[in-house]
Amino acid sequence: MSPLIEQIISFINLAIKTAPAAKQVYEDGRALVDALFLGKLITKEQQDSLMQWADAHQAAVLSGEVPPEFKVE
Amino acid sequence: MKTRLSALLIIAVAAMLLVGCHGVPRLQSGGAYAGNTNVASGVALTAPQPDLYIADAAYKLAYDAIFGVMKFERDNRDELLKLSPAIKQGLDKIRLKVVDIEWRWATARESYKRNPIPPNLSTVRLILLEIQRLVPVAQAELDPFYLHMDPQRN
Repeated sequence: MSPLIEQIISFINLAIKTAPAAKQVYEDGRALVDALFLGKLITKEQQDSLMQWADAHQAAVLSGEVPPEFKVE
Repeated sequence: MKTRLSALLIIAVAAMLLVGCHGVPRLQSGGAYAGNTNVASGVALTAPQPDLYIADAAYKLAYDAIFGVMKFERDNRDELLKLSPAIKQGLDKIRLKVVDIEWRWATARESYKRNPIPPNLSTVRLILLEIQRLVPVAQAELDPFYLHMDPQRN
């Protein structure tokens, strides 16, 4: 296999790997737009899930936890 | 391309939050942000917190967007370093900023939850704007990768 083809395949794989994270952000964004601008009801489950995330995230940050993704290595 | 779409979405939401042209979210009763009412007396025990809902949802959106960029770079560091060392250098500067923002956000949110008065929520919102502003900056650091994937973009 030529180096050029290997490089192309390598970057196609990279592009595929970006998709799941982007999908989550896109869905979160749509939910926020739906709630704020389209007047959709924010369900109990959605509220509880967000509060759980925010409280846990706040506690983790205050305990000094830094995910490896945000550490300068 | 979805990464770009999400960046545009976040910028649009941030802009609308800034000018305040959004409605009050409709919170289903019983939810964590909906407040509590004594069923027997009908008296509100805790007030609904729609503004905290918006602040938390917008913060999570911006955080997840930046986290996605950082995770992508970390997971593919060797390949991206070959493409351009500037990607990691640029993102490392943003990492330091995010850690600082995170600490101030957590402190401010804790203060608001202990004492839910408007000035405390304003502090949370100001910090929210800081992380929202970093989203397009972080995503732009991946431009060498996108340009490599699609050289006709420029």
